[in-house]
Amino acid sequence: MVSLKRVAAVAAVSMIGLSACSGTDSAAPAVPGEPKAGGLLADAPVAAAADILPGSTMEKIKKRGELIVGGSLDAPLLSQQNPVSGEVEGFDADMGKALAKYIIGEPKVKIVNSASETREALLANGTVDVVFQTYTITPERAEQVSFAGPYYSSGLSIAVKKDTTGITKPEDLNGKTVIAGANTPAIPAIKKAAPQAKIVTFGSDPECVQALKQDRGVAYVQDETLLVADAQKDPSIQVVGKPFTSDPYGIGLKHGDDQFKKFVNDWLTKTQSSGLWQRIWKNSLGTVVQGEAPAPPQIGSVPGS
Amino acid sequence: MSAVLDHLPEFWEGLLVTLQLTAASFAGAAAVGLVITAMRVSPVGVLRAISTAYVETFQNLPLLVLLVLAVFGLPEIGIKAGLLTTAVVVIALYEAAYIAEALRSGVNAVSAGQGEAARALGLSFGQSLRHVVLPQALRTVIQPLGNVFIALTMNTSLAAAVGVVDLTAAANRVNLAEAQPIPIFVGAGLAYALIAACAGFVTGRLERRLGMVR
Repeated sequence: MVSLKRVAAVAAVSMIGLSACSGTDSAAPAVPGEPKAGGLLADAPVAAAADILPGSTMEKIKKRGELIVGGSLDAPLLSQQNPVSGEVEGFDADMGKALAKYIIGEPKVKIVNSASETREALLANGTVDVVFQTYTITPERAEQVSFAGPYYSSGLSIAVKKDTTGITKPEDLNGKTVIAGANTPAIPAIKKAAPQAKIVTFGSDPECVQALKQDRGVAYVQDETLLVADAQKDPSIQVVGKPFTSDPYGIGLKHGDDQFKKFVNDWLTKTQSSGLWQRIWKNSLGTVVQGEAPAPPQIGSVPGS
Repeated sequence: MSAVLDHLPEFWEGLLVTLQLTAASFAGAAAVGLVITAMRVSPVGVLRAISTAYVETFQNLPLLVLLVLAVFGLPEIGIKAGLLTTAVVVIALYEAAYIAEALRSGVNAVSAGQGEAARALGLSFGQSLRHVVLPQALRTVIQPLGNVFIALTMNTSLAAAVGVVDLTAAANRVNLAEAQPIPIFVGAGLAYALIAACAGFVTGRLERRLGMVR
């Protein structure tokens, strides 16, 4: 009996702790967006049989009947697993499905949850065919992997609590504690723009927002799109100023596979000219950003692509 | 290799934080663990019940859950400390449960006759624990305590998940700039292995010096 009581007490204590924590999270409404990738991709382009060269990467994928994508499952608006349907939704996820449809004829993808520590290795050893994961093209990374694209261009912005004053540009962060997502391009960008800032990192976007609200730092630097979505969900934070960086996102491919790179770039050109790119944007990022879809970046326009 | 060598200052700072975390939380865990053990072998039922509940609670919850709850949950009820302090306290309380279990097995290894003899001499419970039982118990559990120390060292890497820039977080940041995960994480792994090897060496020496031959 004693042990039963003890177990009950332990369970009660941990439940209190858990509900105290999750209460704040679940108060925020779910990310808006219609998970209608099926309808979205109904008229997505499919490659001609002649484009699937024998012995090529695309032929291998077509034979397998499934495109293996390295991506995230926890990035709102970009690549996030819907806990109800199990589907992965967002801009990166839909782009991956569109590429699968182009190669195989069906939007069949398997998303391998990868992280910035692992994606170069996953591409190099062939675990994944492509990486769609806010993968900023840099010359250093281009020595390890090939990049098709860029397929999207974003920038980092600063979010603060509503009543904060004196922070409008990245230089204002000098000498202050700044929150950033672990393994995001925000860390080197803050170091460059405000070398005297102290950076604390947390694993996911909701944790960073929570940390900002609990004054673990005075500002939160993250991709502008994500911050806009956060500020919309939570009125106690606001985005200040304009993005201070320009991050071209590329599609990560195995290093040196020029045939596949050209194939993916051709597909990207087709999605952009047919208006599919713009529709995918409207369906994901466009649900929180006002106005029409931006002009897609020029393919091959940045060093490393 | 240059990916590691170019960023030695970052690695060094991370390593210092890891060492701070390890030393401070092991000291805390040892102190709390000793008290818990004393409570577990005490003649007072309530103290035994409290200490048993403590050990069961902390052994049955994952450290990462405790860290996230402490860092994000406690400020909601008005308790807020620095990230490093929070991590040290949480790791210390968590590992104290394991130290208490190791110590208790040491206490059980001391034959009952020792305690009875101490009592027959007129020593109080505290005195017999301090002068007779614990000195013998500690000698038998040097190796298990060394294992707890090594596990604690590895567990400090979880603090990286709640914003502490330890060796793991530093390696992550360097990798973000260099995109060379294999040399960077092998380098960080070697540093952890070195700490563990030192701990193993020290416990081995201590055991040969202090170990009892029966």
